[in-house]
Amino acid sequence: MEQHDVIVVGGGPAGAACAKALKDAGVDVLILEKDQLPRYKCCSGVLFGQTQELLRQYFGADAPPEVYCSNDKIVEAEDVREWNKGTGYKRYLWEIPKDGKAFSTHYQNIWRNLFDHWLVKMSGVTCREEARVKSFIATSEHVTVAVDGPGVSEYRCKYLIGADGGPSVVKRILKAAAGDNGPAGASVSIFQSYFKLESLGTLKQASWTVFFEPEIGEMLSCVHQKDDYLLLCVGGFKGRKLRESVARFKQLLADEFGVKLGAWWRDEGCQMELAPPYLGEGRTVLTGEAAGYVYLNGEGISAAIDSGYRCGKAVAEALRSGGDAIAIFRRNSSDIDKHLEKCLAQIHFLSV
Amino acid sequence: MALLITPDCINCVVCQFECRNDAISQSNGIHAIDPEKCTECDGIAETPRCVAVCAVDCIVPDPRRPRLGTVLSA
Repeated sequence: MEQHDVIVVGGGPAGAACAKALKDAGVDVLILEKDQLPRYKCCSGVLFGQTQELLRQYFGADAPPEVYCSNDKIVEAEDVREWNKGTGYKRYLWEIPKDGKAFSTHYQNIWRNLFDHWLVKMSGVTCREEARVKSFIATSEHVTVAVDGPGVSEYRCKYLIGADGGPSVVKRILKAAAGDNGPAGASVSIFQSYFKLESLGTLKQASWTVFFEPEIGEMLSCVHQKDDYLLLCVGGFKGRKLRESVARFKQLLADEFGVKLGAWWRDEGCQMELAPPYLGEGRTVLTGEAAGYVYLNGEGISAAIDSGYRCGKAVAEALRSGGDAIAIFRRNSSDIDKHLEKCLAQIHFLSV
Repeated sequence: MALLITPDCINCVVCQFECRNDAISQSNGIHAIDPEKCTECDGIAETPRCVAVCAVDCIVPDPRRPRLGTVLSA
């Protein structure tokens, strides 16, 4: 049995930001990451303007050159466009002002495996890799966590933070303990494939093109270049065969733009739950996508970093004052909730 | 009885977390069900939990591991 004040589950942006806030406040914290880092993530890998500001604000740094794609490092907001056969191109909005403040329109094209690994190192907190949370028991005093993987198999902490993304194990265990055994609420599934790029055809270099084609999927499809690869992303509701969607999308890109693709490289898939934020119970706190923090059209990195940091601050304050961490978190993140609602009102990512 | 995962799988991992029998594992990005562990959630849920959450409906009965009733009626 190993003891820490706080254990953060998940070594992604939410977990890294949360751990950073706790360490900044002098709290003893450990990160448990289920995979070996760096690990791939189902994501377009674009840092929008708000994310760039949050990195400076919370980490005092910009994403370093080594996490960028080696070409097309920047995608300009004006080159993020939706296209349809009838009307051609028009601008597509993926980030909106928050609290009246607009952000940089120079979006950074990065690799999530490298970015996430950099960010967790920037937190300065020890991250134990290949540590999978199996179960935990929370009392009013502490949380005991059972972990699979090489090394320590049991931890005790004052607070357990689930920053473990959409398919959060911490959230599932928490809900099961509360008698909520039902499957997740409404969700969309997202699937993306990388193909070696032979020719962009008439697609603009360093652009990001979005399509609303119901035959491909109920969610938007989009395409942009990452190094030597073209990344095709599709999404749909339950039952949609997304591998067929990618095949249709490839065909559309070939027919309408003359895009030529070579060998397949890799796939990434995930589910995104569409539910209001849920911040946990007692000494088990959720943040990032695990808590339901995702902004406009599925952008999760800024919501993860911001909610993660606020969560860490709230837990640090609760440890100091003996207050209710979740209540403090809810209070100190009301602007995030407000932005989430604003994003929901403007969301435009379904094709049906 | 057991279920299996077809090549339509997009490796979203969600089924793995739903399984109460630890029957689903991922290795090199491929998901698979251990037929020795899978009970099709008999007595746990009406629809197997993994089937209920699978986004692309790629979890189906394993024809090599039919339910007993299927064998008797065949």
